[in-house]
Amino acid sequence: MEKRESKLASLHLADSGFLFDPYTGLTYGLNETGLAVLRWLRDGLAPAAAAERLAREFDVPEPTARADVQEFYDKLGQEGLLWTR
Amino acid sequence: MDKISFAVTGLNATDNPAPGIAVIRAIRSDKSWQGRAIGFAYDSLDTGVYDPALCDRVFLIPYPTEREQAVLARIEYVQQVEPFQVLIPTLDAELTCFIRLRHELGPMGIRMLVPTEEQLAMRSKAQLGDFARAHDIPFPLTLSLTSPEQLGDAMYQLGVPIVVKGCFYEAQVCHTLEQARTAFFSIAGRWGLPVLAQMYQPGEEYDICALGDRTGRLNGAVAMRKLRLTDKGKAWAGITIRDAELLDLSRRVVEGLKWTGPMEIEFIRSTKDGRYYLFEINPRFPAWCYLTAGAGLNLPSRYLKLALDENVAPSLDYRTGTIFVRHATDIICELDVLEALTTKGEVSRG
Repeated sequence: MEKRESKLASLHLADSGFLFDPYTGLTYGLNETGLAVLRWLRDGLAPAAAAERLAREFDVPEPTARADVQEFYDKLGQEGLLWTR
Repeated sequence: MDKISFAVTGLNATDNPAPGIAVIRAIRSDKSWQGRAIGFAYDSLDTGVYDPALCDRVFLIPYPTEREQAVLARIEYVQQVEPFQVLIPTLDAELTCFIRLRHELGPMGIRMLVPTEEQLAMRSKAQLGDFARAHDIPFPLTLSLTSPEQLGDAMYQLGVPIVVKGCFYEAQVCHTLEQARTAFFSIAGRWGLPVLAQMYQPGEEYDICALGDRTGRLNGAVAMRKLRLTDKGKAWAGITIRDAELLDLSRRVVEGLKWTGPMEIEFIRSTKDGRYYLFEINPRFPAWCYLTAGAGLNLPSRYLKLALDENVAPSLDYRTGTIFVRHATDIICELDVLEALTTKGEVSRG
């Protein structure tokens, strides 16, 4: 069975929101909330906990934060940014 | 490092640059290196000849396709007037000549890292599929064609579009039988038969610069994703990356071939299934190999040490996210360089 490991720790993430995936060489731009959420995920927060923190720190209604974080998390997965293959 | 003087071929940097200039720049960037850099040029207008920061001395040498003994005689002369210890051939077309000359060059005190002729043949376009299959390395299905009449069956088997490739160089993506026939005649006319028909794999291109030691084991490798291509598909900008799967595939290529010396391994990561497909192996440093020095794993410098049988521990330790961008510029020079090369066949720059 193939070994799948988290990629989050190895992503290059700058304060400007510039994101570089060292596995693929692809680059991305994140806005302020995307940057914050990705950092929390990288620090080990689960998406639900990241949504709670987003709601708290950015004054966003919790249902909105949950939906947005889930959408963002799914997008990270689609882009192959969460796990090694 | 003791003083090591070396000679490098491939000094012509056009829009399809030869690797010699990058090799010299990489070695010069190694602060521990001392010695002289000698350029072997095939033409008095090879661009690298005119860069005053590159070669200490340049010699014109005969084309290796003319006569191996003429090349040897020229190197014997150079060794008398400008002794050097290591030779780094960087062009595909000259490699067979230098492989054949290695038994003469060794006793002259000139060391190289080159494969055998058999290993060279195993990575040729015509045999690469067999090698990949034998070592379980993904490779696009490829058919060897000797007649344009075979193109219809090839398109049926491979799907559309197909890639029509020359046995040495050139590839064209063809969407119709007519396009494929035109490409077949054009490529066969330039490069001869067989012509190869390959399944098209859309995806991102990744290149590896790898170096095998004298026992055919991987000594170092740097992986790069192409960021910008020329109209010939050559990398004009790239960024170092690290994917364990890609580096493992590269190790299997080098060690499967038991390769001694540098090579460029080209993969496509398919957008269809996400797998890396091997599609080409070039038996030399790539023109972008200065990036290996920039990323902290200077493979041309390692070549020098390995060629002299120094102990160099294998390493894959380099920085990801290091970028190269090629930059075409003009060099202004006086007439004396051209004069010296055309009248004496050599010029001293330092």
